[in-house]
Amino acid sequence: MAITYPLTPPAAIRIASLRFSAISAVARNISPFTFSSQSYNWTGTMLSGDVECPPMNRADAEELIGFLIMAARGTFYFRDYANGTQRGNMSGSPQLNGAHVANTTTLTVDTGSGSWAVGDYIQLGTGSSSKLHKITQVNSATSYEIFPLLRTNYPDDTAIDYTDAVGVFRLGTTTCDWSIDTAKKYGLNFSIFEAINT
Amino acid sequence: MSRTIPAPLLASTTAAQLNPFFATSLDFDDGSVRYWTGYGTITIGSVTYAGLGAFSAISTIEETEDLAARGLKIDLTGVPNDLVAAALDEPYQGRTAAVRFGTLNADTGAVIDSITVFSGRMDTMVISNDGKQATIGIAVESKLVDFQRTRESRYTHEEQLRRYPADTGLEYVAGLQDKVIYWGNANATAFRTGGRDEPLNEEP
Repeated sequence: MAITYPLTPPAAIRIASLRFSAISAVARNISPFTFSSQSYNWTGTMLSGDVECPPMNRADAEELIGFLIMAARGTFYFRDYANGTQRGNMSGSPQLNGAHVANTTTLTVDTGSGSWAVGDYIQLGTGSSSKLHKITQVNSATSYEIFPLLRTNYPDDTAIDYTDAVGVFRLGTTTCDWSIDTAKKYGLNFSIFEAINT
Repeated sequence: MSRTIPAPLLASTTAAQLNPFFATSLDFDDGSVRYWTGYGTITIGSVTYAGLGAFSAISTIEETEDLAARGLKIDLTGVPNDLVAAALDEPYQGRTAAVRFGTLNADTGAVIDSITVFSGRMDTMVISNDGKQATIGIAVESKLVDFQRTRESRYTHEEQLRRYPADTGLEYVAGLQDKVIYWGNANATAFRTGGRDEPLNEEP
């Protein structure tokens, strides 16, 4: 059976700490005389992260090692494993209200009830087109600012997932390292960044 | 040198925050390859540019006081398939390439406006793959380089007809090249000296 990307992390994945980074391609010009500044906001925005796993027994660790070895050559789904559920009280099946254009950050939503809170994760698209976004500002119960900006155009009524929302990521390095101590406990760390190629 | 920058573009580039982009157009014989430094596609003047930001770098666009031809280099990461095909199969040298600069409306994602900041001709296309990263570098030369190219044109009957099909003004040029003409003797076919029709020195 061939490997199918994006991979799904093993259910046995254990995470001791997650460190996410929200990266924006921004250039700044600052006058050395007046400190007047201008910001060049290029379209590039991306989520990346560092994952530290706790000491694992061999059974759990080997599942993850196998996953990481395969992931080096492709993509995989990943999410904020510490925050699979929302801070807000959105319920139902929210959808995009109207067509949304790539390179924008404002999301207009309808058909759901309640609202998300800042920091909640949402998912647009499915499968290899899954995009993970974070709510950065609540304009109203039906309007939100998100990060990263939309990577593609979305039609009206596009479904929005908000429970265990995932995006498609790649490994930060293509080398998979693990350590085994005298107690046969495995140590694993890896870094990730968004796969932006669709 | 006077230049025209559309007012909306000028206004957006002087704002405290701007959303700039570059767009390139490489015009091959079999069609154009167009990219821009963003996601999705944008349309500029009915021309569509593909996104994904395959750009790695655009070298400095230079202007000089003297009349000098300054080129630039466009580096693309990932080596898009259509460019590889063009680099390997198509005669790309001398085909036009252009770089545009513009700004986006941050709220709507629409193009505010854009201008052509460089236009020239493709020179070399180098595919580089070191096992870790694949890039394709396209050297684009200014159109001024054309002035350094020798344009051969000869004063021949054929060249004249090529340029002006009805002009036979150079018809006898070739025949004149080795023609011996003696001045002062309408009937002379050989060199003569002396008076009127009397040869002074007959040639042996």
